Amino acid sequence: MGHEQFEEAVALYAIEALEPQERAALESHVASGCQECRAALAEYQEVAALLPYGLRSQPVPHQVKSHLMQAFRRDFPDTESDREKAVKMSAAIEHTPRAPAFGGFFGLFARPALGLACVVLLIGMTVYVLSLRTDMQKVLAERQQLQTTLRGELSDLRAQIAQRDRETADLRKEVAQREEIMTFMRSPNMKVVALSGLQAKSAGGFLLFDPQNRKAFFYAFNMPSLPPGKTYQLWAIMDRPVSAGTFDTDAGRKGRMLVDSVPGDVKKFAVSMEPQGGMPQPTGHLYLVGQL
Amino acid sequence: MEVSRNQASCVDAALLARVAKGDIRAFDQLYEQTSPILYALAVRVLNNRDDAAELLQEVYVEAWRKVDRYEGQRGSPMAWLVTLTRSRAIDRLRAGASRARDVSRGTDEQTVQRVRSGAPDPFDDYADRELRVLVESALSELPAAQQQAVELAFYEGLTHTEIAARLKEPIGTIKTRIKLGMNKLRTALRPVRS
Repeated sequence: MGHEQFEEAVALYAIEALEPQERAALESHVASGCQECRAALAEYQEVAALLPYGLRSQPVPHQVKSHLMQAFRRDFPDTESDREKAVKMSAAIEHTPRAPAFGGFFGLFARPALGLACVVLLIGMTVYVLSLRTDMQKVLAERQQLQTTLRGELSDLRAQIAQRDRETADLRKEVAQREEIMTFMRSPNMKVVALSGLQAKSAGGFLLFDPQNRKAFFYAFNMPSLPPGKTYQLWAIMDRPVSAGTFDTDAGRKGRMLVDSVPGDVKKFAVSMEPQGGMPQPTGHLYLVGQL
Repeated sequence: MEVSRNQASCVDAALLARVAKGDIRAFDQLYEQTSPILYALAVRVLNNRDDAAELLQEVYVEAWRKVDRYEGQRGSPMAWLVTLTRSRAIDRLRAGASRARDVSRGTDEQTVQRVRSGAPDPFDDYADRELRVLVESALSELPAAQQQAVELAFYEGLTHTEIAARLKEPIGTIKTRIKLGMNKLRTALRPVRS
């Protein structure tokens, strides 16, 4: 086998395509000092080593790394050097910072200075942590107390707001009534009907009546207190009485009521005491009567 | 063509020297940089992911043990690892440790298409994208017969005589195909060879 043949065989050798005898012959030729073939071989071997780059990379199973670590632990504890390698390998492969070994920590106490420093450090840290804990508990208690106080104040404020809302609603209602009364009084068509007491002579009332829009405002005073379950009922009387609504009296024994629609051709107004909710026709005594 | 030499292609003798001194972080770096390519090689040879994973583990154990014997003048660190991986994979293949394989698999279209696909590789971070593209391109420019002969030798460990028998071609034809194919690859990959 001449040099030219060896040169041609180098490419096949690089990817191990030669038969064993051919391979041995080429190795012998290169070993004999043929720099040309040696250089060519190195080039082709480098080309061969690049061939796997043409493959699609595969995701390497994660367990390979862990198995590798186990293999090192199993295979390398024979010598001190290998044991060190195995430990280092485990640490680096797992990328997990290792805590100092338990024995290693207490090993520090073998050195008096370091041991004393550690003790002082531990005591200081303990005191600091306890102090911090006490402070935090105090702050927490203060916050809870403050929270309770604020909740109580918030509840009171809400009650006051609700009360104010109710008072505002009453005031608005009263203002609306007064405005309506003023409207009645400014109306040129407004008629005033005075009602006199029948059961109680001091009782009385008046009714502002606008025949044009059929609205009326009724006001009564010094009315006898209503027994439980009873109410006053205003009647517009034509040929027969027609209910114009019911009203209750306040603490000053006064009563007031707006009538949205007074029945037509009314001649008289009267007030009787009736069961709560009113009746279709008067059933009780008349307390007030007035003529239009 | 200027190719950035990082990741697996960037593994240098200095890294191996650190590994040889017992620098575990260096070994970890070596594993991270090279394992995707070496695993792909093992899968390609063995056609079995489990076997490939097992082999990869053995290869790294062996590399750790033998790293102090690595000689820089005999090739790049990556070439050393590729040779080690391929050699162990072929040994395993020949010993029948791997799963039974279809003898025609190595020449099927799937293998050729995979090399020629040029599809985005999800592991480009590891696989040296530019280098991969260059190698794929170089392989795809080979005549199919030359590529087939090279792959049968490299990935299936067949000698030129065995390839000739499988393809029912004259031995001289197969030798020529391999020689021409490797020569073209040598030329095409010259920009990235050290």
